[in-house]
Amino acid sequence: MLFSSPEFIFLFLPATLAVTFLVGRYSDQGAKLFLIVASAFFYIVSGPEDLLVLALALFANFSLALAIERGRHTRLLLAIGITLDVLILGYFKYFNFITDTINAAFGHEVSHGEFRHLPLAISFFTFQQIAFLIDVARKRIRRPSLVNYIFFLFFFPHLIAGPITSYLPISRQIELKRVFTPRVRNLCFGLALFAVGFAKKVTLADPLGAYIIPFFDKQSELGFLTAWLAAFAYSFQIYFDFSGYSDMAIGLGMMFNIRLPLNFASPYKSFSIQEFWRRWHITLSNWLRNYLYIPLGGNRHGTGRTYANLILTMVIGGLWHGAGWGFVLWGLAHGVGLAVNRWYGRSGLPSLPRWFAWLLTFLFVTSVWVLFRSTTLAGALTQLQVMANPLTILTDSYRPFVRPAELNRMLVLVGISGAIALLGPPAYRVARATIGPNHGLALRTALYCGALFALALIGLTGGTSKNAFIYFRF
Amino acid sequence: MPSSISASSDRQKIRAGLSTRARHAIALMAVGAVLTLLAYLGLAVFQMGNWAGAEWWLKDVTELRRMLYKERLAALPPNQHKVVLFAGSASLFGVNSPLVTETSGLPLLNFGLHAGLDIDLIALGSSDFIQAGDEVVVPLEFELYARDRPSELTPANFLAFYYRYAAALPLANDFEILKATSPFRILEGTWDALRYRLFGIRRYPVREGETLRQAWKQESADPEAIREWPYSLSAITPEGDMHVAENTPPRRLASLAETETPRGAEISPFALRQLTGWQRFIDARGARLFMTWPVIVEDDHGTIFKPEYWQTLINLARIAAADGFPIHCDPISMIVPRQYRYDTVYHVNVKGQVLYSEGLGACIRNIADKPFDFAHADPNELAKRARERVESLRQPVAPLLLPYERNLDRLAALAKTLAARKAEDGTYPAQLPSGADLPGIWYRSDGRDYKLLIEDPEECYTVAMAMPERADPVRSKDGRCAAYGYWSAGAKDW
Repeated sequence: MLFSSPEFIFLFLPATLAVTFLVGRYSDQGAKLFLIVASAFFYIVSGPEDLLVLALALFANFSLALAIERGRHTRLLLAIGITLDVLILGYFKYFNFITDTINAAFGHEVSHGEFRHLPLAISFFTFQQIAFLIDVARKRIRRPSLVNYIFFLFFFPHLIAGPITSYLPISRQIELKRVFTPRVRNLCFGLALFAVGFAKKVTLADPLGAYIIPFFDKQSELGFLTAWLAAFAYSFQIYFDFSGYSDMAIGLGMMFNIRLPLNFASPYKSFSIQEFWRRWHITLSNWLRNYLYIPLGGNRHGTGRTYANLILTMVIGGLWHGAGWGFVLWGLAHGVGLAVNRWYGRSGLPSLPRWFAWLLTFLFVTSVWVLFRSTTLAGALTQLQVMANPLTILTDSYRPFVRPAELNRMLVLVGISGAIALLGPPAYRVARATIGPNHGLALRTALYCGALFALALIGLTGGTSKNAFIYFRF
Repeated sequence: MPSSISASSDRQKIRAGLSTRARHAIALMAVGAVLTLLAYLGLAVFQMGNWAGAEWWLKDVTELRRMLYKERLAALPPNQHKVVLFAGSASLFGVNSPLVTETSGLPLLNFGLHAGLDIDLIALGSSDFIQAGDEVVVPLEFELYARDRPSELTPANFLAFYYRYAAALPLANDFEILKATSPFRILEGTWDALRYRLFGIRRYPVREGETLRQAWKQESADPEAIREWPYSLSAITPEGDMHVAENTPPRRLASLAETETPRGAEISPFALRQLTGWQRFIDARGARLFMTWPVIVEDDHGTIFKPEYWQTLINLARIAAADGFPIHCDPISMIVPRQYRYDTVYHVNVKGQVLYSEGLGACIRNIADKPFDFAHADPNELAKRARERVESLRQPVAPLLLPYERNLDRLAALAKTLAARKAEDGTYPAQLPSGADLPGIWYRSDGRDYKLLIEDPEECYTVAMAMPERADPVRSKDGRCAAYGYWSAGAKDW
């Protein structure tokens, strides 16, 4: 079930809110349990066997956490836990990739074996469980509660694609008394943020996603302009898709009085790659920093090791997104970008003009999205070559990809998306204005948010919005 | 103490105030959403009647027919029962109304239009012509049985012009169509409407009444117009049929795909709902609805000679009957050989139209008594009969409407004469008998053997398709057959 589907918006969400608050009037624990059941139902819609995988992983991790907490063989148990999580993820996500790579490299015919269906949300689920085990081992979490742990993992607003959070902030919130009683300000903020995210997804990301399909299907036919157009369109598609999803998730959390962490902060306004990663998928960046980069040594072992750690962290981050060489190269490119960024900042060379720094960052990020989006590495490299060769403008034509009317729509959408991404305020600030002290501004913003919600509903008509969220695949 | 009570009370007041404001904000969000939805509905209504991606030729054809049919009905005796036919373009191209009328004994109004539209839209244009005692015959294309949501063309054409006839549809269907409409379509329609109102510019001329009639007369008088673009008034006959006396344009040959429908035997809930709606409408008018087969055109892959194809049709008929829409008549009589295709696997030319209409006319006569007997139908037998029908129509049969048909007929008669002379004199004549002066004719004989050809690169590919044994293996143009005819065994390579 998608957050942007009518059945979620008009059936599941109102019913879940109503029952949670009704039960919450009498029992916090009852409301918590109901939300767990509702979240499981939300997940089951994607396939009951997936729930089983997640449930088994959950109970195994919790048991290990309890064992770790006893303080004996902590490192061994932690290693077992992390290995188990990585193996589960590897089995479902990377087995085919590994066997394909071996087959291609050595001419072997290692069979894929039976078909492996990637359980929805497993990447997010796994990272959160690894973080939980590490936090228990570091004694940041004491005496974890099973119900809270299930709630933390399964709470439907962040279940499928984050924001990646940790056990403690969620557990602390749901331990508060009368947490599941309606709070009008939270509801208002949540509705406004949900509306903004919904509009980003349906009115911008989905139409862009539909238009770029033929461009990425026929990369060998691209010329300079069409290749850049496709790259820009995808750059905005993925931003509005994922940030729209995150806004909806955080908004939904707030409707239930659960605060989820911020995931995006206008990343395309960044002036460096380092800043970009502080603004893009913030919860993943934090996870990679806290549970990978720092344990690898971070910047504590000299310059060379720091650069190596940065690159390795980003390569693993790339691989986390998907099992394919395109994702590995995407991560590598960002790792190298971060390393170069760090080196330049410390080299004593003059700072770049701000407009140039912004342009360089934006073009770099947009270019490497091509690696992320392309279905084959060869196709991605072809497109990147074309993007670097202005002479291909001579043979360029949009006709293999879209009709003239579609090109016009696409250009308008890219223009609007760019203006919003580069000039618009972050969604959370818009939502906060609806409950802010300036009454006039609050009411005006609320009116706009309502209009955005309606525009998104309109966007659902005509088959314009078909795409699931991009990050649901990871 | 009092100050602490006062501070606590202030905090409560502030909190209460903020909550009240948040309530107002939520209420305004709802207002904003409702106003935006209403504004969008307003735009949708405002832009109705404008182009934005609609197939305007459908409007011209529908309105011209309605004008012509009103005049025809006025000339008929009062209470004259008639046949009203609606379906997709298989009937637009496939139905020859005068021939069906002659065979069935009932005047026919052909509303065959475009299978890219949904059943509702196809039927709308005919709705106010259906009267008590009429037979409404629906040779529905197979894909329309299976379609499970409004097609892309439906919203564009509904908003451009079919909304005019929407009174026959329940309001819920209007909303369903609006739900299927891309917001981009509404915005483009709005732009078109504004452009027209502000600058008087339209992307397509809106022709009504006598202007439309004059345009039709002008376009249909131009023989080149059909060749250039038959999807217009140029090919419409005074009876409202599409009359295309052309073979498949050679450039389209490669794109003529394998017959893909029916892919399976199914009637989608969407199609069933629409059919049921029209069944009720027709019943309420005192008329009767009969489903029958669309034209079944042989494809290049021999699909219709396979029992599996016929098994699918049998299954479809079974399901349709179970849903209350029995399909009538023998499907074999609806088959047309591939040399009479026009530009798609559903569209036939004027000769294919005659073949289909003979079958359809015979079907319509006492159609109520002819439900297809799917319970006893044998797919192997149907496949065999399909092949027999196609083979029997390979050699052109009367009426000979296309130039190559007439040529082949004349050549066959000449070959017969030559064979008779050989039987009499022992040799083939050195020259053709007098009167055999067809354009492009070529004859050579050494007494022992002969070769008789017509050089006709324009239509030879059709002959090669239908009767490859008649295509001359020696003469070709641009790698394609250039002459066809008859020859004795020893003259094959002349």
